[in-house]
Amino acid sequence: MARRNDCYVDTSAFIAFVDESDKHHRLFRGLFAQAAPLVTSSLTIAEGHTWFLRKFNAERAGRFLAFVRDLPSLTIESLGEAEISEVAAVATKFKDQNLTLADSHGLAIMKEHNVKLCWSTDRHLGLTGVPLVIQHVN
Amino acid sequence: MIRTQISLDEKEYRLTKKSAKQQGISLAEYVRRAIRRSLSDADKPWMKYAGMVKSGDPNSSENENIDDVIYGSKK
Repeated sequence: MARRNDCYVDTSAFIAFVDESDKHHRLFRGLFAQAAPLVTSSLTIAEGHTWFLRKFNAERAGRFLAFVRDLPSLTIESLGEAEISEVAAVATKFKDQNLTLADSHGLAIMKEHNVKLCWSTDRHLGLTGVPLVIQHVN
Repeated sequence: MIRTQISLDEKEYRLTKKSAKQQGISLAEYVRRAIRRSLSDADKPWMKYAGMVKSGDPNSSENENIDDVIYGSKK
């Protein structure tokens, strides 16, 4: 169970942190250095892992998992039978947005845990009104 | 400040010089900043993964690009 008001971390935040070429790299490097309490979805971790597999190789994908394991205060929420209804309701509510299951699960997690800030560059994660960190700093 | 001397291979020197120029700082300042960052991250093991890859794409974390890589383009 995540602590209330943790920041939610989306796939885009993980990628901006690990990819030195990304224009948001410096921002997310600074954010992750703070070791703030974070929460994410297991589907987000799967997306990050797949990104490395597709773009690089299994060795880099493994290093991504090592990074996730080393994060000191990250809670990973799973999508199981108990969460399916809530996640499906989110996907249905925003069906015009073609949300991925990871996005829908992320929105459900943010609602359940009263998350106040989302670490993401993806506007989809702001659909329920939680501010994106890139809006805060820009 | 203490004056010291370091040796870099040709490629490292060229890339460091280029990166420093892009940031509008001297090579010496670039190296000082890298050392400061490295020291401040020493007690944070997860920070060694910061910038672990260099895709060459400044829009790497944009949603459309991530989805294209993970799920493929919509037909």
